[in-house]
Amino acid sequence: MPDSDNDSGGPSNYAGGELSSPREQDRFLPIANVSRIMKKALPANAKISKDAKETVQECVSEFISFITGEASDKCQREKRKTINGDDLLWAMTTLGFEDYVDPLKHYLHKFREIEGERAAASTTGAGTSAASTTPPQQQHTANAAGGYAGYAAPGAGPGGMMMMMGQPMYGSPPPPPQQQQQQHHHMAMGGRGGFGHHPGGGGGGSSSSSGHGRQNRGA
Amino acid sequence: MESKSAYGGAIGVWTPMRESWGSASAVTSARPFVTNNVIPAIWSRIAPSLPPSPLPRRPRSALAHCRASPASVSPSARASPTPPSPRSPPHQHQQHAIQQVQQLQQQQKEQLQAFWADQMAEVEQMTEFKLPNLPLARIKKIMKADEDVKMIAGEAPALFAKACEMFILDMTLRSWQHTEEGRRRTLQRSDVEAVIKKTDIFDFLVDIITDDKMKDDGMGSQAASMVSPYTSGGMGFSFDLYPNQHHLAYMWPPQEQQEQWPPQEQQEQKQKQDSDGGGQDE
Repeated sequence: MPDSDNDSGGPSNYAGGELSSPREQDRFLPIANVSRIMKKALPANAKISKDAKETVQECVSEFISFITGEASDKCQREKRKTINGDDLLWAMTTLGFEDYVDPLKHYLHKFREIEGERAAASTTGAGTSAASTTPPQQQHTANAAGGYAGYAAPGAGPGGMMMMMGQPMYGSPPPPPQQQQQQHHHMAMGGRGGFGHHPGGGGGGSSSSSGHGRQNRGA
Repeated sequence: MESKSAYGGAIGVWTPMRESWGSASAVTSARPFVTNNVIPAIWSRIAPSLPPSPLPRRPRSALAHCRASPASVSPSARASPTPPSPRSPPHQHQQHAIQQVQQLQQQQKEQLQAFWADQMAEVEQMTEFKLPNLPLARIKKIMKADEDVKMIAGEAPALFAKACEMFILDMTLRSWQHTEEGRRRTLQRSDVEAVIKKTDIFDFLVDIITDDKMKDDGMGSQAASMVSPYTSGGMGFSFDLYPNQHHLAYMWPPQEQQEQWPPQEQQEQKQKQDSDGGGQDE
C-alpha cells in the first residue's frame, strides 16, 4: 500500500511538470527536489539548463546504486542481511567519498540520538508510537501533520507497515532497542515519504498550503 | 646566352658589340628608348669603378649587379634581430597566464574546502533532526533495484538523503566552476560532463554519459514535441540525413546554442519558464 500510495501521487505530480513514464519516475529522484538543491550551490543570478538538471538527476540515482552495491557486497561477505548506516559509510570511504563521511557520521549520530529519544517516549506498540509521533509533527507545521494524516488514510497501510517491520525483527537479531528504533523510523520514514509526494500531487487547496509550508521550511 | 656571346664577341672587335645591343633592343621591342637608356647607364656605372680599359669594365659592372643583390639581402638580415624583442612579451604573457590558471585552481580548491566546512558546521549545529527534502521511499526503491539487496535498516535511506544532498551540491559547485571558466552564467549539461570526466570520484558516472546518447533519443523527441522550432528544424534535418540516429536532433541545437547569441536567449527564456514551472510546483 505505501508503494502504491507513492505511485499514485507521483504521476499526477509530474504529469503537469514533465512527460515521463511511471517507471522512469521510479528510477530517479524528483527533478524538482534535485533542482532546488542545485540552486543552493549557485549564485542567485545563475541559471541551470534543463538537460543539466536531468543529467544530475541520473547521476544521483547512479550514486545510490553504486554505494548500495558496495555495501551489499560487504554484508554478504559478513553473512549479514540488513544494510545499515555504518555499511554505507564504509562503502563511501572505500569508493573515494572520504569528504562525505565526516559530516555523515555526525548526521547519523544525531539521527540515532533522536530515534532513541522517540523510542524512549513510546511506551507500547505501533499504535502508541504513531500517536506519540503525531504531536511533534503538528508542533512543526500543520502541513507536515496533514501529510502524515494523508499517508495514514489507507486502512491497510498500518497493517502492511507492521508486516514490513515484522520481517526485520524476525530476520535480524539486533537488541530490542534497535528493533524499536527501526520500528519507529519506519513509521517516521513512511510519513515523510508521503509528505514528500503529497504536496506536489495534491489539489489546488492542498497544493497552496503545501507551498506555504515549504516556504516556511525554506526560511 | 646572348649576353655571354656578346662578351665573347667583345673580345674580338667593336662592331659585334653594336650588333649585340641591337639584338637586345629588338628583344625589348622598345628599341630607341631602351638603347639610349642602356648605354648611358652602363657608362655612369663604369666611371666610378675603373676607367682604364673598356673590356674589364663590363664584366665588373655585371659583378657589381651581383653584389648589389646581397646588399639588398643584408637589410632583411638586419631586420631579423627585431623579432627577438617582441618575443619577450609573449614569454611574460605565458607566465602570466600560468599564474592566472594556478590562482583559479587555488580559488576553486578553496571553494570546495569552504563547502565541506559548511557541511560539517551545518550538521553539528542541527538542534532537530531535519531530513533533506528528498523522498525516502524513492531512495529505498532505488536501493532495492539491486537484487542482492535483501533488507535495509531504517537509518539507511535517511543517511542517503543527506549523502545525496551533499553529492548534488558537490557536483553542482564543481560544474559551476567550469561554467565560470567559460565566462557563462548558465550551467550546461556539458559542464556536468566535463566535471565527471576530470574528477576521480565521479569515474563511476562515465558510463552514464555514454549511455545518455541512447537516452537522448527520447529526450530529443520530447524536446521536439514540447517547444523550440529550432529543435524541430534540426530534427527534420537529421531525419532526412540519418533516419536511424534521432539523438542528433537533440545534440545539434545545444551546440549551436552555445555558439550563437540568439539561441542562448531562447534557451534562457526556456529556463525562466522552467523555473516558473518549478515555482508553480512549489
